[in-house]
Amino acid sequence: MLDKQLQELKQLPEDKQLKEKIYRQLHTKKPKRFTGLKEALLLTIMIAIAFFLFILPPAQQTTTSAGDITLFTAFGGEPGQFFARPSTLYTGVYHEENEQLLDFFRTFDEHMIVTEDVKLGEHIADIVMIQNGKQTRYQMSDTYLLNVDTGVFYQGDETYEDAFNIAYTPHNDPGFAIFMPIVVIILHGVISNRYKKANITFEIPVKYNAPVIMGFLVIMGSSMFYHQQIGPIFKPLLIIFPVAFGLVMWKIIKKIAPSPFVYRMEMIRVLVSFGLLILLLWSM
Amino acid sequence: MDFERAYEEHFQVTYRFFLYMVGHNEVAEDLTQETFLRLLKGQYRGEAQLGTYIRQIARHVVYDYFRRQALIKWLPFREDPRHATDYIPHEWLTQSEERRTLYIALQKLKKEHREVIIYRKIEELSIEETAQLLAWNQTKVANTLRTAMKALAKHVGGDDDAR
Repeated sequence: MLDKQLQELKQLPEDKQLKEKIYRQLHTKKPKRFTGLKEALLLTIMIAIAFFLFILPPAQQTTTSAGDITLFTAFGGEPGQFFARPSTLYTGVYHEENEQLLDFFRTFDEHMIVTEDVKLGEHIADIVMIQNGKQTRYQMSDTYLLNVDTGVFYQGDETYEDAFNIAYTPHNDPGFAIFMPIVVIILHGVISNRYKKANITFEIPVKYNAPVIMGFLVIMGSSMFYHQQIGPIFKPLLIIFPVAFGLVMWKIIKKIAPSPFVYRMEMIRVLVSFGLLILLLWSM
Repeated sequence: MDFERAYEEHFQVTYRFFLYMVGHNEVAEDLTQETFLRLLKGQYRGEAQLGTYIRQIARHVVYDYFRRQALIKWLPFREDPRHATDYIPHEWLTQSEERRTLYIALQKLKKEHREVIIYRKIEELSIEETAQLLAWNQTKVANTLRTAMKALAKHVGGDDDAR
């Protein structure tokens, strides 16, 4: 009975006027101005602008903490190069709140005496000190300290050694970085299992996958090289790349996913993978 | 590809699919236009039959529409006016109480249930064709159809005669 009623719905009469109207509109409608990639780029730029507007207000970076002094440190400096910046929005820059180190810089003149031009030691920590609105750059090494702005070297007492040990401490959290691939592997396993249960075989074709992955690896590799060899990268700028590649992947999946189920699964994969990557970059 | 011929042959099937999937004349009209616009701009290489290719585009178009609706429902100030409660269904559907009831019952089903019923029971596609379109295996098509027909029968208030 129900079958017969449903078959009757097939007899919906054709609306000739509507058919002609749509046909006319198809040939008069202007082509869309934005292709998928342009749309993704536009979205990325919009997100980046919003991000900058929310993150950039400099108040956080210039106000002093711990009374009258603020320190930003970068672990592992090089003679002739300076990696610290007066903001934690740069990769590898840490806002130092250790009271002992802050006290050392407050009483700098009591512990340090000017010495002739010497070479810094092998282990170096870069410091930006902001005191009463004035910014001074230092390089602390295991032997001497250099005021980068004036080029004057200093020799310190035992208090300096303690201060150096505090400043020369890496602040990365390796546990977080190890945790990420585990999450990604588990996620891929769960999705593969769901596909297996639903008897679906889906893979993004190499012609789509390969250029995106290659482009992503080249850009991220270049960024890491820049961070290691040249200097800190502004984090909001760095995060634009995974956001842009995430959007490109979204457009590809939207185009090729054979069913809403596959679309959902692949979007979860992209969101989690790129989300974790953004978290990792932000924590650098 | 001869677009005019493709349009002539597949317009009605496409429009009907949208009308039963979204339950709204104007939305069905917009989505039909979008489907043929994509066909016109796209590059049909003859890898699949043209009918299957158009149905695939239509599926993407309708699920894009559902996704947009899912987003819009989180924005109360952007409520789609086309979903007003005073909406009147297609004239032909209102001419028979039986058709009208069935049409309303269809709209109450899950999207996947509605879709499988449209392909198998209204369009009378084979189980193989339906499985290919939905990227499911044939067992899943059969099981989903059975569940969908039970749900439809419940909404209509009659007995299930799904096979």
